[in-house]
Amino acid sequence: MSRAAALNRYLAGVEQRAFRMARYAVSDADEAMDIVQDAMLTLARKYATKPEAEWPPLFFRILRNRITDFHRRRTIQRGIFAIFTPSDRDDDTNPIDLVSDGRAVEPEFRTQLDVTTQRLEGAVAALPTRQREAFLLRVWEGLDVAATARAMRCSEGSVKTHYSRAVHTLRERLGDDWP
Amino acid sequence: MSGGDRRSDGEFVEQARAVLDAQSLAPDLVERLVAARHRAVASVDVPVLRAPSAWVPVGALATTLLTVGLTVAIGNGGAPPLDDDVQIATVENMDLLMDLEFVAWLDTDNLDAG
Repeated sequence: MSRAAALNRYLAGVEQRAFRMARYAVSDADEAMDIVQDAMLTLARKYATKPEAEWPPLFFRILRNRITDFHRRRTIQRGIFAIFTPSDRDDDTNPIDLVSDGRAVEPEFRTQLDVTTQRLEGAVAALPTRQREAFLLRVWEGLDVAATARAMRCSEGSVKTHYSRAVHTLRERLGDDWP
Repeated sequence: MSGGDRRSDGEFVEQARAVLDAQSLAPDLVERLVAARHRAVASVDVPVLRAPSAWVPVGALATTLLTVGLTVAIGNGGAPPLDDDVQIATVENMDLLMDLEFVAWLDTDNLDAG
C-alpha cells in the first residue's frame, strides 16, 4: 500500500472523531472543520513519511496545537492582554468557559442528539481542557498512555492524573442514573 | 471510588465509548471532511521531493570547487590523483550533500514541532 493510500485509510478512520473533538473544544462547527482540515494537511505534507504507528500521536498533537492557536486568537480578539493558552495551564480552569458563552455544544447539533448523548457530550465538553483531551484520546481514540503523553506533550504520569480526574468528574456530573 | 452496587470505572468508560461511537455526523459535515481528507492526501510527497532539491545547487557548487581544486593541483605539478582519491573525494562530497539535506529536513521538522 502506498503512503498516500495508507494515510487516506488512517485519516478516514479518524476524521469524524477528530472533528467532534475539535468541536467540543471550540464550540463552532466551521472553526472545527478548518482546524481538522489544517491538521490533516500538516500531517500529510510533513509527516506522511513517518512510520504509521507514529501518525496517531502526531495527528492529535497537531490538532491540539491548532485548537490552542484558535483559543489564543480568540483570547486576543476579545481584548484580553494576558495571553495564555490551554497547553500552558496546569490548573483545572476550563478555557471554554473563558472563550464561549457557556454553550458547550451548538443548539442545532443538540437537537440531533438523544438525551443520553446530550448529557455525556455536555459533560465532556465542559471538562477542563487537559482532562477532556486525556479522556477522549484514551477512551475514544484508543491511544495508550505513552502515545497520549506524546500527543499532549506531557508526562505519562500527567496523562494518568488527567484521565483519572476526567472519569471521576464525568461520573459525578452524570450521576449513577446515566445512561 | 466505586463501591457497593455501583458500576466500575471500566464499565462507565465502556458505556461512554459506546454512546460516543453511536453518534454520527450530519451528511454535509461528512462530505466536507472527506473533501478535506482528499486534499490532504493529494499533497503527500510534495514537500518531500521539493525540500532536498533546494540543496542540489550547493552540492553542485561543492563538486565544481573540488574539480577546480584538483585541476589546479595537477597543473602545479602535484601528483596526479589516483582513482581512489577521486572516488573518496566524491564520496565525501556526497556525504556533505546528504548532511545538508539532513539538516534541512531537521530544520523543517523542528519548525513544525515548534
